Amino acid sequence: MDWPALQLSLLLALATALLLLPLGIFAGRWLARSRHAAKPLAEALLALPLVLPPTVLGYYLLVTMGEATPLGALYQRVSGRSLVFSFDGLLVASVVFNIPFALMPMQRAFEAIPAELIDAARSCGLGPWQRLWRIELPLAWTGVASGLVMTVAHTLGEFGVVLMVGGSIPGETRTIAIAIYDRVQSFDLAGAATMSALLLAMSLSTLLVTAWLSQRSLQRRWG
Amino acid sequence: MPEPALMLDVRLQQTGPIALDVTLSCAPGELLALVGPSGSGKTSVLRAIAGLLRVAQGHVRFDGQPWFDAASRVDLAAERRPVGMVFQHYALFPHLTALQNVALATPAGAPAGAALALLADLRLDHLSGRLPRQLSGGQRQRVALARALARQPRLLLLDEAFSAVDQPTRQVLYDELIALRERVALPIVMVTHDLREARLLADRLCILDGGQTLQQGPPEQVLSRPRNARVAALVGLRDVHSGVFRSRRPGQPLGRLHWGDEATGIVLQVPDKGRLADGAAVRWVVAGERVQVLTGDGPPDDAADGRLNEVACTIGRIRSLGEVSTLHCQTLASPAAGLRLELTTRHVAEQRLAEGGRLRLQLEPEAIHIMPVRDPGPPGRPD
Repeated sequence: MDWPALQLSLLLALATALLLLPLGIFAGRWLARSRHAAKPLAEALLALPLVLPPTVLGYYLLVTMGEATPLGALYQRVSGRSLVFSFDGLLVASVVFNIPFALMPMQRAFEAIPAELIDAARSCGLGPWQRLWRIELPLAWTGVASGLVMTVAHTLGEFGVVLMVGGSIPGETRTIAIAIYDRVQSFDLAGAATMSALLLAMSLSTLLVTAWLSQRSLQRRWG
Repeated sequence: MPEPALMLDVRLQQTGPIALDVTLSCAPGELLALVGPSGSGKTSVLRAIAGLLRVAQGHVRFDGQPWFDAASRVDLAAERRPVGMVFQHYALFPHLTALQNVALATPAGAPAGAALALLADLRLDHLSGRLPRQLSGGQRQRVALARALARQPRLLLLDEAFSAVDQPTRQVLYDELIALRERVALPIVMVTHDLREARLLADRLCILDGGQTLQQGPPEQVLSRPRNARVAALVGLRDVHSGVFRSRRPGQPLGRLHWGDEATGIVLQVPDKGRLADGAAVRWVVAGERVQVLTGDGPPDDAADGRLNEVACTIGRIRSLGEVSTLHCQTLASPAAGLRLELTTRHVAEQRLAEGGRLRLQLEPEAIHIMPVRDPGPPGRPD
C-alpha cells in the first residue's frame, strides 16, 4: 500500500473541491439564470473536459503551463516553483479537469429553484448576497454537495491528465491511480489489488452519497 | 376641488417580447384591479411595478418618486422598492417555517415579535412552526399575505392571489382582505381574471387586452358603460345588441336607436351626446337593474311622458339557477331582437312568469349605453 500516494490523492482531491466550490456556485448560479447569448458557448467550453481524452487535455495544459510559456514563466517568477511536474501544476490541471463534475450538479440544483421564489426573495427586500445565503444555497445545497463529492471521487481516480502534467514523482505528483499503474508495471499485483480495492470502495461510497443526496433533495421538494 | 395626488403612476410601453401599451394609476388607499384574459399582460404589468420585469419605455412613479424611468435610465432594484407582493402560487420559501418566511421580510429595525404579531393578525400564530408543505392552500395564502405586509410596504401587489384556493376559502380570504383594508390604507394593485372578484373587492377596474389598457374606471361604470364591444365582451356582458343610431331631430330631447336594423321597427329613445354620426352602426347594452318588467296588458302608468321605451316580449326560455333565474325574452316585433333578463326566482314565481308568456319591458333611456362598432382608439385595436 502506497500511503504517501493515497495521502497526496486525498490532498489533491480536497484542494480541488475547495477551489471549485466558489467557482461552481457562482458559475452554476449564473448559468442557471442567464439568458445571455454566450451561455451555450460557455456551457460547451466548461463541459469540454467531459468529452476530451484526458491525454489531449493534459497535452494542452502541459504546453500552456510549461516554464517557457508566459503562464509558466509568470508562476515561476512569483512562486519560485514550476507549474509542470509539480503538485501546483497537478492542482491546476485537476481543477480544470473537474469543472464539469463540480459545475453540472450545482447548475442543475440552481435551475431547480423556481424563478418565482427568486422574485419573491427580491420583493422581500433581499439583495443578491442575502438571496444566495438565505434562499438559494439552502435550497441547492444537495446539488452543491453532490458536485463536491463527484469532484473528490473523480480526482481520486484521475490518471491520464496527472500522468501528462505531473508524471510520477513520489510525494509530489504520484497519486494513488498512478501508484496502481506503477505497481502493475513492476508486477506487484498484490499491492495493486489492495489499492484498487480501496479506490473501488471509495468510488462506490461516493456514488451512494450522491444517490442519497439526490433522493433527499426530491423528498424535500415533494415530501 | 384639486385632484387627489396620484400614489402610483404607471406608463409602460414596449413591442416585445411581451407587447405592452399600458397607462394606469392608483390613488392612496385605493384597490385597483387589473382584469383581462390570459396573456393580456396583467402579470407583466405587476412585475414591472415590482421591478421584476424591465420594460423598454415608460415610467413607474410612486408618490412622486421615480422607481423606473426609461428616459432618465432610473431603475430601482426590486429589493429596494417598498412593495409587498403576493404571488399566484404564493412562492413561500419551502425550507423555512411560516414564521421564518414572514421574519425574512421584516426590516432590520422592526420590533422583535413583529413577524409573529403579523401571523397572529391573520390567525396563523398557532401554525408559525409549520413548513409551507404542511399548510393548506388558504393558510399558505395568508402566510404569503403576512410576508408581503412584513416589509411595511407602501404598495401592495396581489397576483391572482385567490385563484389557487377553493371557493369557500376564497370567500374567507376576501373578507380578510376587506378587513385588512380597513386597518391599513395601502394602495393595492390586484391582478385577477375573475370579474366577480374584481367587482367585489376593487374600487376601480383597469381592463387589459393584448397588453393594452382598454378602459379604467369604477366597476359599475365599466360594467354599465363599456368603452367598446371588446370591453363589453371582456367584462362578461353577454347581451351586447347591435343597432343603428339616429341623431335627435331639432326640438327633440333624445336621439333614436333602431334595435337590430331599421327594418325591425323597434325604436328606442336614447340620449344623444353628439358623439355619434347619424345612421352609425352601433353596439349597445342596457344595465339589467334599470330594466323594468311589467306584466299584464294595461298601458304603463307613466307611458304618456313619451320617454319610456316600452317593448312587448314573449318569454322564450327560463333557466333557474338557485336564487336567480335567467329569462330569454324575444320582442314581438322581431324574433331576432331579444334580451336576457336576470330576476330573482321568487319574483318569477310571484309574477307567474312562464315560458311562452308575455311581458313588457321598459328600458330607461339613460340605462342604454351605446358603443361605436369601430373603436376610435389606436389602429388595430379590436372592437
